[in-house]
Amino acid sequence: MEVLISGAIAALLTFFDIARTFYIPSGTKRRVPFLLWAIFFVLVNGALACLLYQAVKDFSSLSSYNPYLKAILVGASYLVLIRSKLATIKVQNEEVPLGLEYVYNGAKEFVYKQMNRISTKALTEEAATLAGQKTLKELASTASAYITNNSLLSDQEKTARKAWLLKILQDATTDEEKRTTLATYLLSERM
Amino acid sequence: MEQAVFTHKEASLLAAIESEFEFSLSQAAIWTNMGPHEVRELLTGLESRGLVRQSEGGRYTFTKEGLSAKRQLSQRSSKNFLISEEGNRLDSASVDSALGDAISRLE
Repeated sequence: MEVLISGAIAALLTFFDIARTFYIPSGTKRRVPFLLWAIFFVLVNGALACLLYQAVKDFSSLSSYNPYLKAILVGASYLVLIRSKLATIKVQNEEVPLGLEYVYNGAKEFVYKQMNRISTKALTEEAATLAGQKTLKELASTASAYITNNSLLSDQEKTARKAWLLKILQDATTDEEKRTTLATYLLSERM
Repeated sequence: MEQAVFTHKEASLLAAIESEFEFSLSQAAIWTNMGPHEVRELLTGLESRGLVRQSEGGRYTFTKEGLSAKRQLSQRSSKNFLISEEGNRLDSASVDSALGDAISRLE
């Protein structure tokens, strides 16, 4: 049971990171391959956290903890632990850190690259569709209202965002590109 | 190692784009707080210096040299300095008014 708690927490943290990093429209055929990569990475992290729990659960420094608390601690600190340096070796008089960080970062970069490619294509397609359906005035009004009503933005950030919106409207580019930029903004803010 | 020289706007763009992966012109405009025309000019300049390259569908990616330049710059600047600088010196009432006027002039 405890091992599953560690795995579930690490999987949840991985899911939060993916959700914070990427946006994938709901009605796109690209959603399936994106979700497969996401589920794969969430499961791999969960499984690695389970292995990590098995490896460290008998450490004397953790022996005084309640098993459930131990499982929560391992799951929550999994991403830190997997990046920690286990040892260092000397190569030509230089200390070289040994650990899983290099492997983990390489794997994460590979998976994130695939997901980013899918999500950027999907976002570009959806933005083009939205830009084709709405006028510049409609998109600008929606973006302005969104910024005004966004409780997560400070007053300073709202002013900066509105100044940017004004800059887009005054930009020496085509109407289509302005619409696409505003559509991308609205979609990536997940309206 | 020789350090690359960037204009303030190029440095802002390199620092503000967090993605090490593919990104579109519109995304770059959003992340940098710039207009698409300005961003395209900057990206074209960076492309001619081998720091970014255009990939499929007009999207961009940083080259190894571009990522290295980004890392150099990140040691010198915070990622959101463009937004905070602008936010400090902008007057919200005048921005609201100018934006309202600009939207009402659109057809």
